[in-house]
Amino acid sequence: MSRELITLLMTGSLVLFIVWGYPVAFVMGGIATIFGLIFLGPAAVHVFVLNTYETLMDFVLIAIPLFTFMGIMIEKSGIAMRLYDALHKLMGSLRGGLLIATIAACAILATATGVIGVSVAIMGVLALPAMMKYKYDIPIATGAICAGGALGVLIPPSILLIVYDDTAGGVHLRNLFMGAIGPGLLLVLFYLIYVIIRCHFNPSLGPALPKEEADIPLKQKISLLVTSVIPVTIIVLVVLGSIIIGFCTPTEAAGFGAFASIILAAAYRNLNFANLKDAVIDTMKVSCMVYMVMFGASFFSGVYIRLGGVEVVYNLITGLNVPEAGILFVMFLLVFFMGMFLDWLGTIMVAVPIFTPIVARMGVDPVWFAMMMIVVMQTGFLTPPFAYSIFYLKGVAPPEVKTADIYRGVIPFIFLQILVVALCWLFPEIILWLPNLLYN
Amino acid sequence: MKTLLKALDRLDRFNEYVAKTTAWLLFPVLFIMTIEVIRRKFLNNPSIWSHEMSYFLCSAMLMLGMAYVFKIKGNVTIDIFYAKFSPRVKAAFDCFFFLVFFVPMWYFALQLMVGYLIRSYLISERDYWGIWFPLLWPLKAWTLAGSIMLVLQAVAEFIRDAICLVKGGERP
Repeated sequence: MSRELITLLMTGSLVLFIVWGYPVAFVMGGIATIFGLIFLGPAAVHVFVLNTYETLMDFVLIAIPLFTFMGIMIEKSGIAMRLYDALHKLMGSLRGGLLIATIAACAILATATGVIGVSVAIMGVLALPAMMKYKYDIPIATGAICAGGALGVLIPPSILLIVYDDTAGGVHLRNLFMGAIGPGLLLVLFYLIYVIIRCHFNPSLGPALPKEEADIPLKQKISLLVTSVIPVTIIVLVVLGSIIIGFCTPTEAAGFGAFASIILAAAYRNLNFANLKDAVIDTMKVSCMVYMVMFGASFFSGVYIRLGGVEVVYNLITGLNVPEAGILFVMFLLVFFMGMFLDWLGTIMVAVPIFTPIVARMGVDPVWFAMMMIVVMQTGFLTPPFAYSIFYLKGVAPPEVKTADIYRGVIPFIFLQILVVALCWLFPEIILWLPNLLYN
Repeated sequence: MKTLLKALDRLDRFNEYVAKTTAWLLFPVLFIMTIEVIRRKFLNNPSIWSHEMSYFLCSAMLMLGMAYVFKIKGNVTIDIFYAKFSPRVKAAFDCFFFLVFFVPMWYFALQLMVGYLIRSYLISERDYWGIWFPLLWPLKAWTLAGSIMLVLQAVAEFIRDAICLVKGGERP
């Protein structure tokens, strides 16, 4: 059988079988086993076992359970609630102030938690009822929560970036972290500008809080800032900063961050055995999920590469005589659709092993490609009708919030995302200036 | 039939107990990390074992949790269609995938893992990354143990799915 046909069958069976609700890890592993045994011989499963040992012995990947623990601890200990509450009081007197508070809290939590569902769920419970109480426009409120929550996959230290780095190979994790800062900040900035402008010209979308509630003495404002906003911000900046300047490895920074989140919970008098136990068990669940899918996917891509899949697809693409931009555009479009239907792990695990080797051969900057892919995928997470962040929000929102409201609310944010994608494509420096500045 | 289901429940409880207990291994890891940064950066006295010790502990936590996560359907799945199926159709799909994909993969993987463990033990294989040179067979031992637990759990789920598929009604 020709290599072309094998590649087609292998990719085809992945697409065909992966959508039926069986764990992605075992579908990928099973396909790899079958194709490996037929075309590579009985030694194929060695690839799986050796990759599994290697993944378990990988020091960088330990950052995944540690960052997960940090995020869950911050969620469970009420730090997120205090953070939103403080921002709410500080920003409330502005038009659209609660939207600003929501986006700011999402951006800070995105660095601390790094998983998409968590911040959407927290904000859906905290911010949405508050905004509804003050007669904010429901679509714009829900849109801001979905968009802000989806930042978690991008803004470092995101778990997605660690998994991406491991799956793609050949890029230093630090460069990915640094590359994500530019587009991440740009997105936050655009979200903020958008809600401020909309609410400025149409105050009924986000009215300022009534005078008697917004009028907090300066002293109290400062104390709110010091007790609720600054501590968690400091942890986040120390964790991120020590990775940036190379003070310690991402894994050690994650360990420190996890430790600091326990201290912070204790400082807020929310540290007890039940919280710790929940956090530890939830961390185990999330980490096992991530690792298992990495085992399966690295087995799949190991067999796929050995069967020559990369060359086949590369020859096919270069044979098409399409300009490089066209190929990239098609890849991003596919990633966007995957983002609409799959969760982040599914998207990364299917797209990265197939796309990145080809892109590397085309000579595209791997950090730029990674960031473009992640922002595109993040856009998919917001895009109706199946997007995950919409479902998460609908799950926790008060019953009077209709799914149609959320659909309408996310659309402007989708356009902002597309704008950022276009800007990053036209000006790759948005992504690359920071990694180049620091490490070249 | 009743005895069989009872035995499966016992397996569930065993796997859950092991997973929830070993989950605490994350705790020493984060203390090791924090102390190591302080020792290396502020006391100029790094340990020789922290690097290896942390992935040892993490790997045990991860592998021994796999069976429980499988049981609670905590794995990544794409359930756009699956969520809409009736219990019986769900059971049919799960049985099919178990037999076609799960079984071949783990049938070969378990055999190889046994071989790797024995070899690792006999030649006293070590990790030569740092200067501590820890023995590697314990890691391979709990990787195998976790895999066996996972396979047993998957078999248990298969039996339940098969019962549901044949008899219909609620999944036991």
